[in-house]
Amino acid sequence: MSTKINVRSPYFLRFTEPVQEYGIFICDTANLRNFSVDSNGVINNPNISKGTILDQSVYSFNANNGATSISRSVTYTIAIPSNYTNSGDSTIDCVQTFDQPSQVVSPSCPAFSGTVPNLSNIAPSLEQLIDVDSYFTQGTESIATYEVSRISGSGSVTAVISGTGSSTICKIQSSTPCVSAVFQFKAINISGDCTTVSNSFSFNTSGCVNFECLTADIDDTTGRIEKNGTVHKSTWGLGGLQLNKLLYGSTDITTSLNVGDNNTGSDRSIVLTYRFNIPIGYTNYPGTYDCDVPYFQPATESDPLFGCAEAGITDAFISDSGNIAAPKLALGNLISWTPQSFNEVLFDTPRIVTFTIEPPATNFSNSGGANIPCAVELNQPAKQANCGAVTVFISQGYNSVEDICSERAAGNFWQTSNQVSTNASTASAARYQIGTRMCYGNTPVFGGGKWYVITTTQTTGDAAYQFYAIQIDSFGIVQNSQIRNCNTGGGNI
Amino acid sequence: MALQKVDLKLYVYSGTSGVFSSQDLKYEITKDRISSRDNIVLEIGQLVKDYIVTSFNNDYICNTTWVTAVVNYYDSITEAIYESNGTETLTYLAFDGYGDFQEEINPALSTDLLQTSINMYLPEGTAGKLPIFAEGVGKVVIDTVTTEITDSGNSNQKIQYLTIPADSSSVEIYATDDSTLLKTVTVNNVCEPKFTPHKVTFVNKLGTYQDIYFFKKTTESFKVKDETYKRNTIDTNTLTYGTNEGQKQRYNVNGSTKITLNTGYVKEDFNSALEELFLSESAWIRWEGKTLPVIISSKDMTLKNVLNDKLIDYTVGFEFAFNKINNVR
Repeated sequence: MSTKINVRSPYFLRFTEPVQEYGIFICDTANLRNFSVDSNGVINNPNISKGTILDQSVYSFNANNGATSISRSVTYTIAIPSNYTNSGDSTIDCVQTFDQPSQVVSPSCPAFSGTVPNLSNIAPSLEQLIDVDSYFTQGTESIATYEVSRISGSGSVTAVISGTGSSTICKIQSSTPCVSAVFQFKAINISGDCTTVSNSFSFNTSGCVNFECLTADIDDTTGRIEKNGTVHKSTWGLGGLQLNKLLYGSTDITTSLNVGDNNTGSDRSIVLTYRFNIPIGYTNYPGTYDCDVPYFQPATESDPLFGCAEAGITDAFISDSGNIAAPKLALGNLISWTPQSFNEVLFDTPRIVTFTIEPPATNFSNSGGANIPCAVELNQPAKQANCGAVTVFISQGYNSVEDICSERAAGNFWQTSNQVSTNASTASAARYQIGTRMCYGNTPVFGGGKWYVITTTQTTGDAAYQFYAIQIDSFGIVQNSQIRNCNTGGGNI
Repeated sequence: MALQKVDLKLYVYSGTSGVFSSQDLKYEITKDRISSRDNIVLEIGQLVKDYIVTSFNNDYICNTTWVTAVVNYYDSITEAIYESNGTETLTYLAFDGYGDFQEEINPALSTDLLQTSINMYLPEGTAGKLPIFAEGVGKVVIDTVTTEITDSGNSNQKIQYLTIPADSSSVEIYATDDSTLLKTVTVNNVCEPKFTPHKVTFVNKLGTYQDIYFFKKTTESFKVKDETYKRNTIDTNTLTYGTNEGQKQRYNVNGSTKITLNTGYVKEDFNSALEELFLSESAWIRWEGKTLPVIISSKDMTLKNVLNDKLIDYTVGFEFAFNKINNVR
C-alpha cells in the first residue's frame, strides 16, 4: 500500500547513513594490480584496492637463469572486508600470474647456491644464526656487502647481519610467541651494479595454540535475554575476533537477535552458540569455532543489570598520535577513561582502554549504583613515518665504528651507495641531528642499531681520513653520531 | 565513514507511481548533516501542498498526486555518493489532509473510508457520495448490492467517490481480502417537508470532498461595502450648482452575501464532520443549481453531546467567496 502524506501537516523525512552492502567480494573486487616477479625471483607484491592481503602461497622464486621467461603464479589470501555478502567466509584466494624474465648474469655478479632453510617453531628469544656468506660465491668482483630484507611478517622478528666477508652472519630472533616473518639475503658486488638474492625463508616462533572458546574470552556476565526474546549479546575479550553467526539451535539469529517470547510461565534456560571466525595465528585457522553460552530467559519482565553490552560502546578510536576519542554510548554516561593517551607507534598496535560509565538513572537494577568499568580493545594505527625530503647517502651497516676502521685496515674503503631521505633540516645537519629519521622512499631504514657512514653525495672514502657515521635503529631513527678518523680517532658530535 | 549530506530531488506528478520525468521535478534540496547528529531531517509536506489542486464543481474528481523523493547520500570521507545504497527512491501518495496533534508526527490516517464520520445524512430520494481509498478497500456492500473496488494504480482514481443510491440504509466497507469488514456507514434518509436542504461540500481532514446537508432553516443576509468622495458641482460660467447633484459621490460599491444554515438533528458521531468543516480551507455550496464557493464565517463551535444537549443540531454561518457585483478582472 502506498505511503500517504497529508500535506496540511508536516511530513518529515529522516535520513541516516546507508548500510553498505557491496554484494559478493571476488578477486575483481580486490583489484590486485602491479604484481610482478623480477629475474632474481623477487616478488613485487600487488597493490590492492579493497580488502587486505593476509598471506601468500610463495614469497620468492628461484632466479630465472634460462633463456626464456617463466610463468610464475602466487596465490594471495585476502581478508574480505565487512558488509559484503560473503564476509562470513573471512578470506578469498586470488591468483596473480607474471612472466618472470630471464636473468642476464654478469660475470661480476655474486652467485647464490643452496637453500637457506626455513626456521620453524623456534622458542621465543632464542637467537638463530645463519652463515650468510656460505650461500654466496663472488664473481669476478668481490662481494662488498650483504643485506637482509624482510619480505613479509611481523615486525617483532628482528634479523641483523653482522661481521664481514666469510664471517658474515645473520642473527634472527623474536621474543614474541607465535609470530612469523619471511626474509631474503642479498649479496652486492663492489661496483654496486649487481645484486644477487637468496631464496626467501621463513622464521616463526613456537607457542601457537588452537583457537578455542577460552581464547575468545566470552564474558558471560554480560549479555542477557529478555522475557520477550530480545537477545543482548555477551562481549568477548579477544580483540579483532569476528562473530560469524549467532545461533539459537540451528536458527541463525545474528540479525533478528530474538529467541521468542517466554510464555512458559517460568524462567527457562537458553543456550546460544557464538560461531567465531578463527583468527590468523591459531593452528586451526582458517575455519569457524562454536562456543555455547547459556542464558536464563525470565518468565516475567524485570529490570536488567546495566553492563558494558548495554552501554553499547561505539566509535571509540585511537589516533595515530595516540589520542583517544570519546566513544558514543547507547546508554549511560561516560565519566572518564584510562589511560588518557598513548605514545606514537610505528606499527599498528592493539591497546586496551578502560571506559568508566555511569548507569542510566532508571530501568536497570544497578541504576543509581556504582559506575562500571568497560575495557575495550582498540587498534592504534602506526604513525605515518615522516621521512622528510632531504637526500643523503649512507654506506652499508657496520656493527661498530671500529669495524669501519678494521675494513680500512683490510684495504676496503667505505662507500655511500645507498640514497636515503631524511627529515633532518639539511643534508649536512643529517650527520649529527639525533632523532631524525632515515628512509628508503617512504619506508624507514631498518638500521638494526648499526653504524653507517653518511655523506651528502654518493661517494667512496678512505677511513684513514675524517668521516661521519650515524647509528640507526630498526625504525630508521638516528640514535647516535660520530666524527671519526681511523688514524687519529674521534668521538661523538 | 559518516554521512556528510543528502541531496533530494522531489518529483510531484500524476499518473502511475514511479513514472515521472524531469518536467515533474519541483524541488532540489541539499542539506548537510549537523556534526553532533547522525541523521538529516527534511520536511516535505509544505512543499508538496503547493502542487495539490483543490477544485470542485460537483464533480468529485480525485486530486491525489504522487510524490517521489530521489535521495543521494554522500560519504563525508570520499565526499561522493556511497557506493552501496547511495541512492534511495521514496514514493508517497499525497492527500490534502492533516493529522491532529494527538495523532503525532507523519500521520497516515485512514486507508479505507476517507471520512471520519460513519453517519451520513441525505434528503429522502437523494443519492449521495462516499469517499474511499481504492488501495485499501476490496469491496463495498450497499444494502445488499456488492460493488468490487478496483485500483488501476493511477493517481486519478486513488480516491473513489461511491455513489450511494437514494434511500439506501447502510454501506459496508471491506478490506482487500473481501472478507474483513472494516467499517459500516449508516445512511440516514431525512424527510424535510418544510425547508429546502442545502448541500455543502468541503475538503475534510483526509483530503477528500465530503458532503453535509443542512436540512433546516436558511437565513440569507446581505452586506455592502462602499466609499465616497466629495466633488465640486459648481458651474463657473453661470456661477451656480444644481441642487439635484450631490456634493458626495459613492463609488467602489459592492456587496457580499451571507447565509446561515442549520443541520437539523444529527448524531454525536457527526461532530467530527462539523469540526472538519470548520477547519477546512475549501468549501462549496450547491445553490440555485450552481456550485458556489463559500467561506465558513462562523469561527466558534461548541461541540454538543447527547448528555448535555439531548438533541444535537448545529448552526453554521457562511459567506459566499465572491462579490455580489461581478468585478472579476
